[in-house]
Formats: sequence, structure tokens, C-alpha cells
Amino acid sequence: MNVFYRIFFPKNRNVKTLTGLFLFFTCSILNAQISGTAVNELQEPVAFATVILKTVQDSSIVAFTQTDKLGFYKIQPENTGAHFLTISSLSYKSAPVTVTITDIKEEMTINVIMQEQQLELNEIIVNADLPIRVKKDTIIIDAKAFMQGNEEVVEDLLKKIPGLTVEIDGTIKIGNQEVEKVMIEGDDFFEKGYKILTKNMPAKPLNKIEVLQHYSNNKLLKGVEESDKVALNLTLDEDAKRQWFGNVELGQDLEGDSFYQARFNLMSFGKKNKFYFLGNANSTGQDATGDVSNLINPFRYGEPGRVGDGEQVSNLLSLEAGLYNFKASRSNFNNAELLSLNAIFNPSDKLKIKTIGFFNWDEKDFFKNSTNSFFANDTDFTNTEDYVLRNKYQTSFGKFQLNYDISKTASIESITSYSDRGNDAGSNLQFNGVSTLESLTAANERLDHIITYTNRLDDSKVLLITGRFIDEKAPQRYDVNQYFFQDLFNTTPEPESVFQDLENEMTYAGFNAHYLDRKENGHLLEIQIGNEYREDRLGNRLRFRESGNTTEPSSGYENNTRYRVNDLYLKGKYLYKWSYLKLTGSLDAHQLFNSLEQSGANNTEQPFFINPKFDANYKINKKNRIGLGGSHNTTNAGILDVYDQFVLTSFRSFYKGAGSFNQVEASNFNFNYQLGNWSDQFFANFIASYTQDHDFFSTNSILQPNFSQTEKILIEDRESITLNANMDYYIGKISSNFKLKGGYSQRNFKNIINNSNLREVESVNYNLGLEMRSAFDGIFNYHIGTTWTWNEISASGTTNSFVDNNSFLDLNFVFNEQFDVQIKSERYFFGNINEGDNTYYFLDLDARYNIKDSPFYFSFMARNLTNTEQFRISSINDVSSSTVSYRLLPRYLLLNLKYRF
Amino acid sequence: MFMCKHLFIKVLLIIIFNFNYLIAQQEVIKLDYLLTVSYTPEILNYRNTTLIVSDKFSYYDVDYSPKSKGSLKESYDQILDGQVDKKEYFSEILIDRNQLILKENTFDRRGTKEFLSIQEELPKMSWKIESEINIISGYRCHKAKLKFRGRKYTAYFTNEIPVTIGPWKFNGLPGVIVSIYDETGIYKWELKKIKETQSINEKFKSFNGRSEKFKKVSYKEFDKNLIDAKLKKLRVAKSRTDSRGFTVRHSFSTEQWLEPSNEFRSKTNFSM
Repeated sequence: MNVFYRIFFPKNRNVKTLTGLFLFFTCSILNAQISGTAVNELQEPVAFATVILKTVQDSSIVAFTQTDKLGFYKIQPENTGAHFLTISSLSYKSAPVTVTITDIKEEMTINVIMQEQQLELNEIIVNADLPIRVKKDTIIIDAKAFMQGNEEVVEDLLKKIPGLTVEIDGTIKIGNQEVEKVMIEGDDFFEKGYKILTKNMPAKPLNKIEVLQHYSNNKLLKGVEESDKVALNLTLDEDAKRQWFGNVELGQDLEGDSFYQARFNLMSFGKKNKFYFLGNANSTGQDATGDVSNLINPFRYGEPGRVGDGEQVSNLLSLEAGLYNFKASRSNFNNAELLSLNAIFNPSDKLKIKTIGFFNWDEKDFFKNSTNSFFANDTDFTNTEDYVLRNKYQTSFGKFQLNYDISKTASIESITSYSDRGNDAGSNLQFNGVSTLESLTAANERLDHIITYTNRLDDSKVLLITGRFIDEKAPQRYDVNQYFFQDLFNTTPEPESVFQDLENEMTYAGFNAHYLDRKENGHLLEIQIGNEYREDRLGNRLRFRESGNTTEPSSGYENNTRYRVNDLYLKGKYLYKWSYLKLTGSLDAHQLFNSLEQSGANNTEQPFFINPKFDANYKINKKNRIGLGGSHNTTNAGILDVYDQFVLTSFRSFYKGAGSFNQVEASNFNFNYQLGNWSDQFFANFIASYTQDHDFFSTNSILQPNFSQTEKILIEDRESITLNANMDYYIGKISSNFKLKGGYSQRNFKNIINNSNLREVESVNYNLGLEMRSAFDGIFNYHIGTTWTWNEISASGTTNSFVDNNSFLDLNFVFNEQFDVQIKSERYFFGNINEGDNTYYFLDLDARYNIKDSPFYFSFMARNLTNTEQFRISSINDVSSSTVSYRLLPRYLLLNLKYRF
Repeated sequence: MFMCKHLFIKVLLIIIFNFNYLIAQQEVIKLDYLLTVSYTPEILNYRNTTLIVSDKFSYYDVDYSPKSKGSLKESYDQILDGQVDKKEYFSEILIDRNQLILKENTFDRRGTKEFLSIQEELPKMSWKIESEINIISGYRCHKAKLKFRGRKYTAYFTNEIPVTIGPWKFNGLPGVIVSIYDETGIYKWELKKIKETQSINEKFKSFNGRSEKFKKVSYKEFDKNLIDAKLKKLRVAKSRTDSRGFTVRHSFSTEQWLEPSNEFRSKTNFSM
């Protein structure tokens, strides 16, 4: 580095200030410079001419400057020796002067007279291609270049990479988009749950960070499949030692011992083998399997080459209960434990083996009191239930995945999973004052095998061939120590109790060939041909006990159904894209072969139908977007629609299917409009949807105080309309957003109650919500909101309506990066419940403290500070209105300590 | 008194004469640079830029018309969505070396969404010339490095063309910049063509015409307004989060901008 630059760039971090000062002094003493004036032949100054001082030896530039307005320049040489001084300007001939500097202290004056000259410049084409770092779809970042030594975990390093953002909760974004997953050497356990990895894995062994754009889970689909996903892949140093790392978290109830939570994550990532172990136990109402849901069922819906997703046995009977439209954890008295062991092995470059397993034990208690008032068709009665339920679950799950690259353009993936779930439920019920005990023993055993062959035919075409086999068995044994069916069966002597054995099994086999062709203009053609076969076996045996004898009910209560559906299909889909318009059209043709064996008869049918669908999205301009879609769907009846004898589905109800083949048809239209963009001061959108069911399954029910008996019937014509509108306006003066939400839905259908004629039922719902949320710069922020819901239901000339209201106020204090506190409060008001019992308040508090640069993390959690012990909600339908009060987890204060290792 | 007046007239005449000379008769060359911008690695945005230069003035503009070769068109709609409006990329810069003034007419697409005429003193650039020499298209090019407004640039320039110039705001190197790129690989200019041209007059006039119409701000004001507008958007986003959780944090970074920081502001990451 030469002296000249050191003087003029003292800010350069590489040069210590002291050195700079010292040099400055020496130079000012030396004061060496060449100065002079450049003039033209008329003695006029040549302004802004370039002045360069080069060594004669190797033409390297020693110093440079420009002449000022008066043609004056001064330049400082660095060493003695022969130099060229060149002064050049556009309209003049450049004039090199040889300068020999003998004494560095010497001042020299060199005046130059420049000759005018027209520039002879023919058109020159320059080819200055320098290598660029950018590779299509993948950016490779050298992790080491960004390491400063103070990074502990991966997240700390990612924060330093330009273009990557790590938000305070650990969400990783590239630009504005969240990453899909964070892989290690191409392997992944966590999918969207990547924070477990990025917040715990040490940053040290990282070598490269790859940002993968337009990411596809199946790498051979890249560029063909429609994808806007982004993923990260982290590569490790060649000699990186495998390290175990993770965290432990323990939470203790401050007031007693009834609440706790504990969790650990333990992992190790080597280049070839990777392990991840996880444990979780809690009594705070959390579902422990939530931690592994990504592992069990990675989200692959709608990806090419899928077949048989969603094929499963549906239970007719269950004793599960919960507050589904309310925070489930408030009423879930649980004791959950989970242990999960997972590994990935890469025996060779071409082969990858992934094994996943977990064991889960859970015990859930649930308490409710309910009152149901029936008013349908002059049959007025009220039932009360005082209900205590205990469910015990045991689940084992294992998954074995194998990926093999046959060649660069072909690969095979095989996934086998097996699960076994046992459920023992017991309830203690007071039904209209009658003590009743229920017990349910249920099991579910499922084997699922899917194999996919992918072949990239060329740059734009891919063929996927998929085969899948599923076998699932869900037997149940249900016992009730009371008999409520005397009015129905009129048996003498009257039995004492009831039990039922239920067989519910399914076998599925599917084959699908999927061809994708991405056209040059971005259009996408997809063709699928396949065959799916599903066989369901449903059987039940209902028995009564009387003085130690077992008796059977009259006929009509014992199913032995075998339902087989074979669906041979051809599907075509085309996506058109123009700059502002996106159009999708699809046609699915199905040839079905149905066969139904039950009640001694064996029927078959071969219906054929086509399901068309279209979607259009148009961006009118920057502020206005519009979308329109329509479809006509024919759906084949499932097993729960076709069985022909009653099944006991609770201690007092029976249910049966329609007893025959059916296909139901429905048409749907939807429309949406968006004004402005989400981050504009004003933003609004509107969604409308209309569905017409040309035929649909409704019910024919007998409702009595002690029992109900319902069968499915096929009815024509049902309509539903849904409208939703949202509006947001940001008020700058108070740094807050005002939100207005409105919704309307209307549906009608027909059913039969207690041998009535077909009666028309109409339900209408409106809702209106207001919200304000602040964006203050300081410590404090608020969020407040309220929603009113109007419900109205009319049937057989009776109309019932009521209004509910929910409000909340949240206060948030962020003192600094290490410490924050949140207070959440809620108010629920139910218009259908008598005054005094219809308003409920809740208050929760959370505080977090993270010791800076320490592996410890504290949090404090207070739930239900108002100690609200029960919660009453009301609902209404076309036959009854009901009020249910749930017992809630009492107030608890939990102190959590998390340690990262 | 007479002497003074005489002198005044003489000076005035010289100024007028010189001005005309500057605008009308001087040598003018035109340089075409290809600007490659790559915010996200998969997409290379190509923009044709032109530099017209005389001894005293230089005029730089970005061809934002749809004809400008942009690979955006080939990519899929996700990214296209926000970026199709090429007008947003309008930018022209006039440097007056006599007055040491730099004016930019531009559309503030990130902040206020207004057409602006931004004036600043010609930024002083502290180039560091390295010993490496490359021959690019027959020109002997020296390598030089520069730290400017939050970016580290590497340039190759030649002094075989007797003019001190570079694209955009680059100035102060003793020659013509043949290639310049920033360390993160987001911005890169490459010289594609040099030719002589008639005059800078027309460009000069039309630039000033537009400058009159646009809102005039200093560079410092422009930067402040831009950051304020971005912060407002952040507040809108923060106040609009639907979920009742409070862990959502909104942020933006200027790190992908051409000028991530400047003399007035060193902060590049903003969050709330």
C-alpha cells in the first residue's frame, strides 16, 4: 500500500490511526509534490483534465488527480525514480511528460501546453464479462466469510448474511418470504419447524449456506412444478466432528404440583448420518404430538405424484370431547408424554434412508354439564347431562423412507409407515339424573406404503408413477351400563345394559401416472391417468344384557357391509399465464365400478362422470385484483353413506346410512376482489361464494327424550351463500390500524324430524368485528377488538335467534431484546344464556427473559388469572338449543427454565 | 467604476462564451453500460444504461422501457408481480463538474412514490488503485477499489480513453470504468459500447425540463423521507397483524439498495 493512499484513506480499518497520523506528519514535513498548470495553445486553462503519475518501470499508477477550473493541479509522488506524468482531456492530445524524481522532498513545477485534437473514436464494442457469483436458482454463500467468532447457533450466523432476515421469533425470511425448510446436507427432519434446528445447532461446523429458489421437494420436479418456495441448505465442513447439541426445558408450578411441562431436543448432524431425539411431557393441556406432526405427516398436499392422500377409516363412535371453538388447552386436563427417535442415513451418494418413530402416552380428562332443549315438531323435552370423561391413549408410530437416485434423471422414493393407536375411554355420566357409565375400547392399526418413480424426460417434462397401498383396521368395543331404549324396542323383561362390537376396516390400492409439461411461455400441462380401489368392511353387533343373559335387538341393528369402489380416471389440467392474467382449467373423467354387499344382497353399478373446474385471476392494475372460479363436482358415496342398518353411536343414539349407491352433484362459484395492497394505508377485500347441491345427504330422525335414531336420506337442492368483507385503515396520527370485518352466510336444507314432512330449515349468520392495533415505537403496544355474531335459525315456522359477543384487550411490553411481557384478556358474552351466567373474563400473562450471551432462557406463564372455573356456551340448531358448561383448568403460575447445550 | 463595469461585462461574456462552447462545440462521447441487478440470485435484471460525457458534464440514464432487456419476463409470476412497472426504475443523473453538483431525476419507488429531483454535492470517492492490470477488449485496465455508501466496489478502468468517467455516480478515477461490481454481487455495470456523439445539449435541456417539474429535494431530505415512508409501512404492517400473538416483528433492511447507507445515516436494518 502506498503512502499516498494511506494519507488520504485514514478511515481504512486496516490502517491503525496511529500509523496514519505518523505518516501524515512525515509527509507534511516531506511536502513532496509536483504541481503545475495545463493550458491550451491559446493559454486558456484546460479544466478537469485527468492527471496521472505512472512509474516508467511497470506503468503502475502512483497517483492521480484532476486539474481544477483554472487548469491547476498538484500530485504527490511516492518514490524517487523515472515517472510518466500524463495529462489528458477529451478535446486534447494527451501529453506524457517524463519526470525523474531524484529527491522525494523536492517540489517540482511542470506546466503543460496541450494541443487541441479531435477525438478519433470509432464505435467500439467492449466485451467485459467478468465472472459473476450467481448461479441459476441457487446462491452459495461461504459461511466462513461471515463468521466473526461470536456466533453461537446457526441463527446468529444467518442474521449476518445480507438478504436473509431472522425475525425475533426465529422466522427466517429471504426478502419477504419465509423459508420452507432448513436442511443439513440436503437432509431434513423439521420442515416448517426448522427453528428447533436454527436456534440450537452450533454455527461452527457450517461451511456453505445455499439458498434454493423455486424449491421442489422432489428435486426432479424443479422448474416444471409450479413453485415459489425458498429453502436453505447448510453444508458442513469436511472434517466437522459430529457434535451432540440441543436444549432442555423445565417448567414448575409455583403454587402447587399439579402443573408442569418438560421438553428436550437432542440432535447430532454429521455429513452422512443425522439423529434427532425429542421428548415432551406436560399437564398444561398441550398436545405433545404437535412437536412431531411435521415428521409424521410432512405437508405434501397437491404436489405432483400424490395418490390416496386422505384415505382413512372414519369412526362412527367416539368419546372424545373438547372445546373446539375456544382455546382447547383451557379445558384439557391432560398428562401427556412423548418420546421420538429419528435418524437419517446416507450409505452412498445415491441412497438415503430416513427412519422416524415415536411413542406417545396421553391421559385427558374432561368435564361438562349440558342442557339440551328439543323443540322440533311439538316434541318438547329437555335432557341434562353431567359428564366426566377420561381418555387414555397410547400411540406407536414408525416410518421408514428410502430414496434412491437411479440416474441423474430418475429416482425412486419408497415410504412405509405403520401406526398403532389404542384408546381407552370411560365416562361417568348423570343423564337426567340416571347414573350411567360408558366405556369404549378402540384401536387403530394402519399400514401405509407409497412408492413413487420420477423420471425427468427433458428440461420441461416429468413423468411420475406412484403406487400406494393402505390397510387400516379400527375395531371398537362400546359398553353402557344403562338401557335407554325401552320406548324403541319395548323388550320384556327390560334389559339392564347395552354393548356393541364394531368392525371398521379399509383396504386401499392406488396407481397414478402423472405427466407434467412446462411450456416455454410458462404454461403448464398436466395429465394424470390412474386407478384407485377401496374396499370398506363395516360390521356391528349390538347386544343387550339382562340378568346375565345376552339378547339381541330386533332386526335392523346389525350391519355386515362390504363396499368396493374402483375408480378408473383420466385427468387433464392446463394453466395459461399472461402477464396480468392466470387461467386454470381442468377436466377429470371418472369411470366407477361400485359393488355393495349387505343384508344378503349384492349390487353393482358403473357410473361415469366428468368434473370440470376453472379458475381465473386478473390483476387489473396495481391496486385492483379480481378472481373468479367455478366447478361442478360429482362425488361418489362413501361407506358412511351406504350402510343400511343402525349403529349405536352414543349411549342414546343410533345412526345409519342411506343403504344404496349414490353420487351427489354440486356446483360452486366463487368471486374475490382485492383493493390496494396489504401494506397500503387502505386495504380491503371481498370474497363471495355460492354453492348449490343438486342432491345431498340429509337426515330423517326420530328424536325422543331417551333416544334418537337417524338415517341418511338423499334430498334434492340445497343452497348456501357466504360473503366476507375486510377493511383496514392505518391512522397515522395515532400510529394504529383500524380494522372492520363483516360476514354473512345463509344456508338452507331440508330434513325430516319425527315423521314430519320434509321441512325446510334456514340458517342465517352475520358477524361484525372491529379491531384496533398500535405500532408504537416505544416499549408499549396494544391490540383491542370485539366481534358480534348474530345467529338465526328457522324451521317449521319457529325462528330462534341470539347475539354473542367476544372482546379482547392485549397489552404488550417489550423492554428490550432480552425482556418482554404480554398480558392477554378476553371477555365472552352469550346472548342465549340468562343474565348473571352469560359473561366470562379471562386473563393470561407471559413474561420472557433471555440472559444475554447465555444459554439460559427464563419464561413465566400465568394462565387463567381470574380463576374462572367454568365456562358456559350455548348453541342452537334446527331441533334444539343447548347450553354446555365446561370445567376449566384453574389458575396456575408456571416458571420455565430453558437451557441450550 | 467604469473599470468594474467593464470587467463585469468581460467576465459575463467569458462565461456566456464558455458556456456555449461547453454545450455546443466540445467533444462528446457516448458509453453504453449494461447494468445487471440481482436481488435474488435466480433473477438477473438487465438494464441498458447510457452515459454521455463531455469535459464538464456527464449525463447518465437507465432505459426503463419494456424494450430494455429484462430477464424478469422469463421468470414466473411470483417475482414478476411486484416488479413489472418499469417506469418505477426511471433514473437519470446529471453531473456538473464545474459546480461539483450531482442531480438525479428519479422515481422514489421504495418510499414516497413520487418523481423527485435530488440534488447533492458531487460525492468524493476515495478510490484505491491496485497493481493488478487486466486486458479487457484490448484496453489495459487497472483494478481499483472503492467503499461508497455502504457498498464495496471493484472496478476495472482504462486511461487509454482520455476522460474521467464512470456510470451512475461513479467519478474521480483517472479513466473510463470498463467494469464495476459490488462485493455482494447485486450490482454490476459493464461497458458494452463507446462511440462519439453529437452533443449533450438536448439531454441537458430535457433533463432540466424534467427537473423543473419534479419535486426538488436535497439528497439528505430524500433519504430521510424515504426511510420515514418505509417506517410508516412497517407500522402499517405491524398494526395490521391479525393474530393476537405479539411475537410478530416487522423489519426492513436497506442492504440490497444501491446505497445502503450514506454520510447522514449508517443504520441499515430497521425493525419494530
